Amino acid sequence: MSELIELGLKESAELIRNRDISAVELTEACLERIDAHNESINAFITVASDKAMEMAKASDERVKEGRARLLEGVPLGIKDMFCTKDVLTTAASHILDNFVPPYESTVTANLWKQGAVLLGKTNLDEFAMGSSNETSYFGTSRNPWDTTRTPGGSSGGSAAAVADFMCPGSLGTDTGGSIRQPAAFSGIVGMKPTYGRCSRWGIVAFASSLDQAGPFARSVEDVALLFRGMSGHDPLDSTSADRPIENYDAGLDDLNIKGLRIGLPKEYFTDGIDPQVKAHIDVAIKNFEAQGAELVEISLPHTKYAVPTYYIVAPAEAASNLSRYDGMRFGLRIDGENLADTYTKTRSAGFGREVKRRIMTGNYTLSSGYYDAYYLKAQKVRQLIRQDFVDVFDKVDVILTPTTPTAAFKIGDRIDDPVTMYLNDIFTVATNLAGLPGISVPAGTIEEDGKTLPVGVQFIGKAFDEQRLLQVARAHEKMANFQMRNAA
Amino acid sequence: MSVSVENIHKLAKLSRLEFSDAAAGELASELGKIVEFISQLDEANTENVTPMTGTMDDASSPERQDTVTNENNRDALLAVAPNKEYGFFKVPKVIE
Amino acid sequence: MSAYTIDGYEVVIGLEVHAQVNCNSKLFSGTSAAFGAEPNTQVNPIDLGMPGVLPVLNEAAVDAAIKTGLALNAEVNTLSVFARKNYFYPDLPKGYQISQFELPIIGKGEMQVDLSDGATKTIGITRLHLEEDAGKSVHDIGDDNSSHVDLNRAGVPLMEIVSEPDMRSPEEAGAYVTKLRSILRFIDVCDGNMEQGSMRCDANVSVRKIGATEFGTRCEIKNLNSIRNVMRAIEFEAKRQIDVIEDGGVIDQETRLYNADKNITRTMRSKEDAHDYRYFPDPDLLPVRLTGERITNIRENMPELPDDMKQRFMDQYSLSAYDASVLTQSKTSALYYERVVAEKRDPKLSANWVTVELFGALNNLGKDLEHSPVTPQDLGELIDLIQDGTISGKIAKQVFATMLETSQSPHDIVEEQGLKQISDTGAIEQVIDDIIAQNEDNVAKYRDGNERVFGFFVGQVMKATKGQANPQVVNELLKQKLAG
Repeated sequence: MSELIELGLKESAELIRNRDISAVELTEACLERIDAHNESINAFITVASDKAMEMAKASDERVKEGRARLLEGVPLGIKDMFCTKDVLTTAASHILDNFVPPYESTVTANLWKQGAVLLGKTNLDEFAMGSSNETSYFGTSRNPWDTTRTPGGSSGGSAAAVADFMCPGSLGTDTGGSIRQPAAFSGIVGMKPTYGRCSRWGIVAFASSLDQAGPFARSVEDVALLFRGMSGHDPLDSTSADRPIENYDAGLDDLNIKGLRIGLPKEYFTDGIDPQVKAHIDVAIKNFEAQGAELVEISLPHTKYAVPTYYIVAPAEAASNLSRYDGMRFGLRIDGENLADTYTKTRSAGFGREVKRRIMTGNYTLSSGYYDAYYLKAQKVRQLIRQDFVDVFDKVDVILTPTTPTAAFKIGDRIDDPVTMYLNDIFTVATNLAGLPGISVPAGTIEEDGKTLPVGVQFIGKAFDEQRLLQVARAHEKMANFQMRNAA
Repeated sequence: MSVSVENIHKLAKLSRLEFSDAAAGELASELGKIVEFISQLDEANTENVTPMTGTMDDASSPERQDTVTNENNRDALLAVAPNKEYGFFKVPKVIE
Repeated sequence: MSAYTIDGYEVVIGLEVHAQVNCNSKLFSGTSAAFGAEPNTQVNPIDLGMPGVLPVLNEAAVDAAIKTGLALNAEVNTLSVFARKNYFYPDLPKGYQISQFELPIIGKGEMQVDLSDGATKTIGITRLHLEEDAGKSVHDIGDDNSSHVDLNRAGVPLMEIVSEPDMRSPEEAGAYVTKLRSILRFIDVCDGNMEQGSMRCDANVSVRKIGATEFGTRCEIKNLNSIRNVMRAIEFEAKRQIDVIEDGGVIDQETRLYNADKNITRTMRSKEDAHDYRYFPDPDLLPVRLTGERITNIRENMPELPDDMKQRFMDQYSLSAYDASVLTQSKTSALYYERVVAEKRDPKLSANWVTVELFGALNNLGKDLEHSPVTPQDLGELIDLIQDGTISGKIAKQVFATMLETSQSPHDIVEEQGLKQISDTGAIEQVIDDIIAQNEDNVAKYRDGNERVFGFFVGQVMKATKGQANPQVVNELLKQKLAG
């Protein structure tokens, strides 16, 4: 059984297509693994066993009929931010803990069209607001490398599920680092595509101008394949880009590293980085240099404003996006004495502490008299941050940075201090503000308190240049000395 | 930067949330810290900078044709409502 | 026109009109925007504000806004932005309304309004923006502690048209709404039906001493669902404000609700309770960028506007400004008139028949022109019968009365009822001779210089001919014969 669950995503799809294994077998193996481990890892909020088996059987039927598709029979964990028709979708919030959507997100619909199988809905920070999975109404998800630590957030459950071999791939969403940070903490690959690549239709909105769906898997190749299956233009999303999708999983090794210009932003290499983490990043840089890449020191001067800008823009959009949770048409309702009381009771009981904090922050910065000083100012600084990247991408092909300043931290360590928690996003948020693609790939492992913990390196690419970004990530993956944990 | 408890209660009303006095006091201190943190932007020079509303500002909004594409699906949509009656969403009395 | 003043005060009025755009589907979703369906049968997850749904803009609504902007001689902004207006209400599913705030699609414009004395006045247009309508809360079904929400209207496209505070009397406000409605109907962007709510009006009213240069504090009056109520509410509100000031009080800036049954306004929301809408650009939508080509294309395909048509009626048919303005108040009446006047009928006579006889009759019947029992073809025929002397003007009114009742053609009525005018001098002479022979005493009086008895003879002749004798012929012949 452990052989089946250790299979990669592309490998699984090929074995199923060739009828070496069946989709049902693989799905059963994943469900057994979830059954055995979910109690300790808490990666899944909902396990859709019946639906998964039904979809797996249908996959095997199609294989028999010679109609296998790109992701035929591959079981996936889906972050519980994606609406799945007739399957509970909670956003890890009490306010939605009874919500069964009558519609399907475009991204998941794309995956089912390609033959993929829905295993279940994965855990996350409530409404994706958090960096450690600790704000989930369903309890925190745990890091399989060390269950006293966070798998990262907000897409913690999706990362933990893949790192713990519950599924070969999963989906996350990334608003300020919510795919890349958990990927780094969990020792897997996670990519945030260019804003507009993946449709936002049917994904519970956190911060609309920053949210972007993306894939997790245990290899760059698998991430590339999953990305190919989920992305594409969607007329239901006005911010969806009408750009061609390429066969991202093909030609990953075609990159000529010689002459590749890699930007190293000086603002990202500061004293705040854990020396053990820094050591792995240095190795990654040296590996590229040894293969003939050109290292270019660059400056992104407005980097220091990225986190405060993010913590104005994201809560403002969130405060507005979360106004629809009012107990009138769906979700939780706590009846009060009158209308106003019902609104207040429902929302006060339905939202957790961090979500309330962000709603309050957002309404503070948007409220009359403060708008210009905060929200408008942040939108201007955001423009400067984007311009920094535009200028730099004249000189370099890709940017390399640490994904996070430290490895996974302990559950409970940072939850009491919002600002310290927010600073965890320091290397990832600028990418979202500028709408660029970014990927985190394992760089190695470190030892901390007698535990082995993974470390990630982040690559940032030009807008809509995921092809090259994935090639660079793949090149790094081949050179890096990273040892994935065993399933056993 | 300080945020008063009174401020918290005003924002709470705007947000349709309520906090006990103790929670409001704690939140006032947290929000104060957050406001101080985001106020770092004051020092950034944004003269003549166009605010960015999204990452695709230079594109124009797509438009769809004016055709009706949805059928009546009332039963499925009302099925998830906390309270409904006679085909309506039933809500506490609206007074204005 | 003499200025409208009340006890040394003048009234300053600005209007905000919400016009529902004639579209098949909603502003941001593909559900039907039709009126009057069963509750919640025209909603989808977008209209309900369910998690993860997204708006996509309706092309036809944008075109309608451009068309209206051009009709109001307004600037069409090639860049506009949708913004979220945040507030909680059960009929507002998302907790925000998608509207336009800082950058509306249409900027400054102006409109000529026609006043009852024939004068015109220019009223400035501040802006026009697109936004989505809210749903409807029903309060009178079920138990007393609940309301019932129907979201069929939620998301229906609206244009909000804001005027400058340029109006100075209830009449001017009424004329503004009348003219705006006429323009919207001429260009077919809104049906203008105020009773059904497809056109709604809020009025900003303030008063100031005559000669003052600063505006007074204004109140916004909501819930004005007819032109008459717009005028009555403004009149009431202006008097209320003057009373407050005269009693030494000050006007509070507030939102007030008009009650048409009692003809009063009452406080709905004070300034302290005013919403903090927290507007910001909607990140789910991109800015709307209009190409010059699109605007030009709409401009080139614009139908004739009421003002242009009025001028043409004055030039082409030599009508008075008043007649031209009455006839061009709606597209239907203009079209009706043009059908009547076709075939080289007399334009003035045709105008009289349409505006006086027909409109008067329809008004009495409580019918509108669309449902007129008299077709323009038949009215034209009737005018032909007058013009060629087949019937007199007086008989024509009798025929017209029958036409209203039976929708018969005037020819048939004249034939059936034998109403043809008698112009044959021989026949009339015979009648006159008989009457003269039977009324010798009156003949003597006439010949003695009492001309008043002439009327008696005319009356006798008309009575004998059942009114069908040509009055001119009767007059001439009578004069000859009575002269001896």
